[in-house]
Amino acid sequence: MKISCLRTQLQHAVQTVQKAVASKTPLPILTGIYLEAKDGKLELQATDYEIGISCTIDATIEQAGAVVLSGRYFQEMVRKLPGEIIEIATNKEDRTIKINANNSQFNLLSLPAEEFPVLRQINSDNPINVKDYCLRELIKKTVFACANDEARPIFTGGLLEIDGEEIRLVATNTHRLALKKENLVSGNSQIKMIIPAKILSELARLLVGEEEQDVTLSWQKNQVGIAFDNVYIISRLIEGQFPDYNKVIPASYSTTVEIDTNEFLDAVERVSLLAKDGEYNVVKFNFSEKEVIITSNNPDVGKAYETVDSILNGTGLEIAFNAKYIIDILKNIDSDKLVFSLNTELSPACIKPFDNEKYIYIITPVRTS
Amino acid sequence: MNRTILHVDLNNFYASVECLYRPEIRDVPVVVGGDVEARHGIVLAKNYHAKQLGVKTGEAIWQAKQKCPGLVVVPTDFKKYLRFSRMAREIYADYTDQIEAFGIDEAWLDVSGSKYISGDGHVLADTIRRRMVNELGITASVGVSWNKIFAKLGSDMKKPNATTVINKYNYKDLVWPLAVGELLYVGRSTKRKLENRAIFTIGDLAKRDIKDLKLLLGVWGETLWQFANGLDSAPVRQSREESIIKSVGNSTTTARDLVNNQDVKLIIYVLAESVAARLRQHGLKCTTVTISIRSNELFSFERQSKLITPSFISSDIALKAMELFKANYFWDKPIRSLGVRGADLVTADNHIQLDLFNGNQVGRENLERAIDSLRNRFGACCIQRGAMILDRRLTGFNPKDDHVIHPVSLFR
Repeated sequence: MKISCLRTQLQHAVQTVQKAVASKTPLPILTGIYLEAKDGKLELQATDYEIGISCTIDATIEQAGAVVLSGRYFQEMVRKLPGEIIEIATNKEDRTIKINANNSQFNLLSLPAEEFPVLRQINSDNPINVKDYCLRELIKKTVFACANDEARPIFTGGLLEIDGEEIRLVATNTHRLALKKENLVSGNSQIKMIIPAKILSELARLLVGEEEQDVTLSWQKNQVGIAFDNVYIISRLIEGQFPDYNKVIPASYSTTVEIDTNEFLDAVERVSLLAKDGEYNVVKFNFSEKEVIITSNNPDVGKAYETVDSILNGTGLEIAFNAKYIIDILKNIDSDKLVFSLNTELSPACIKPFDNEKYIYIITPVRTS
Repeated sequence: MNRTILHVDLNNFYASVECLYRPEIRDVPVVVGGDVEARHGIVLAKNYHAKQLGVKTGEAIWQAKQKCPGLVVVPTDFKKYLRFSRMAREIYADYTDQIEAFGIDEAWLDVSGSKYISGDGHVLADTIRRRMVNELGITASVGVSWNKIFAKLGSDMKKPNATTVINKYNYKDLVWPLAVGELLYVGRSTKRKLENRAIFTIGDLAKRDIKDLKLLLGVWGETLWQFANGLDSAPVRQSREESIIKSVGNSTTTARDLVNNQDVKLIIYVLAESVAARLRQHGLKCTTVTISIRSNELFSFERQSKLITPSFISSDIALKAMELFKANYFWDKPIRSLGVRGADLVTADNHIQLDLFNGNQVGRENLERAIDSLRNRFGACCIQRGAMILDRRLTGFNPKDDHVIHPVSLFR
């Protein structure tokens, strides 16, 4: 292989695939980045068998071929290389790869390219197109609600549902649930798949192109392929039955409260400073006629008390929540006002933006002693 | 300060107590054994006549009967033993407030402070022994030394009804020739490791370079070396000190070998109900569930896993235990005994983050409490799971009330 390409493009490609480079693995080949040059293109790939990412850039190719380089060193090196143009060439004699940029030259040992599990794109009959900003919005508004612990694997991913012209993403850790809906331009498919949170976050990170573009989703058995721009991501899906989330969204509420989002967020953040008690972050909310009284009491530290103006419809009540679960959602509500809907102090409550029915957050209270 | 520590070991405790209640069997071989029908048939204690005929603690009752025809087998009655244990404790309490029980029939006494009132260790040990015989009718062996480890070794040296003093002048003659396995906390595998390094007696251990022992056994190497050299400084705990509960568990040897998941499920539910009830009694919840399994060839192992949220609900514990069992046992052998334990305890009145999909957790907790109150009023059998009727012989035991637990550990 002998090629040359633009440094900026190579940097972009390496950064794109690096999240898929395996760090802890018994298979050394997975710690590498695979480079394949043919037909005027250079393709970079990395995979840890959970997620595989490929990124293709333009290159001047003198001699086609494929190599695998140590992911860690190649990535650090590319970030620091000088100049505009980078040349990469194999050296058959000592099995190294020569990398030239301006006056600097590296010889990296190569891994056996024939061992690399090259990604195979998924061919599905009816792929679905989603606008990138729409998918990014779906992910950003929900993925934080996923569970971190592996005790129940099903909740470590988000449920992506496509139902005709509506696309929904649902994430929950069984204590709170975030649901975001968007419209599709066209479509008549019915799909349900659980995508690992790690892959969703990675996807949201990569979907930052300046120009609006289509993201194509295709799936097959327990894998999903995601294509956009010059990137292709393939991920395993989480298998299992996601519980019926519609059941946990209350049909009606006895109390609804309108509050200014930012004032509320600031107040909760302040009050929660003193709320650390073991693994819980318990903050009490007293919803009354004209204001919400937010308090926390930690016998070892002290007390906090703050009020925020609000408009209440229905009966007032006092309820305790894990402050982290409240803060997480408040940070994701874009509109100035929110609606907090409740039933009793032991039943799930709902937080929604004031003017947007497409974003719902359900949160369970904490039963205090 | 030089301490004076006594270790009192009540001789053949269960058998001695039983003989007091039934004087007619005093002069024949007697063993106290578990229920043979329920397969708990091992020798728990024996009197001197049985001992002379070679009966050993821990062997099966049928083996003991082969050795001595006409052997009298007495069933256990823990209430009696607890009563006598308490009475012995009252005698100790006349001389010191530092009494640390080690099981039901052994105790350490720190009598350093009573020297000028009641005499030195030797005199006091003899006094206690005399009072045991006169007031309770049982004999005791007492070891006297300056640390707990040597005191315990001393009480094992002369039996029955004797005092052994191990002081700084004679310990090399008395303690060091003993086999290293006699030392507290030297079990089967530690003993094997030590013997591989040519350490056969406590003296060998004491004379070894502490660095070698550290390499061999880690921190334990250092601790055991200190034990062997009489440098153990662990205090005798105050009698009123209660140790913190670290885990709550029950186990049982089943009435017949378990051969399928259904059998195991029955036993696990019986055990989990007891564990859950005891957790509730103490106002605790467990975060981790451990199961222990012993096959009919006496191979045993443990597995543990975390609950999603801390719980004292029996079905939560049983389901997790069953899940662990199914993932770890493949029925190459039938099972002889099972155990379920809840660990990583938290207080039950903590905050509870409610769950979206977990149904009515509060309701289920209240249900369990209601069952507790029914059982308190009308007995343990007044309300039971339907599955218990599937095999009465297997499930007809009550681990919560039947078993007496003697937590034994030198270190807290």
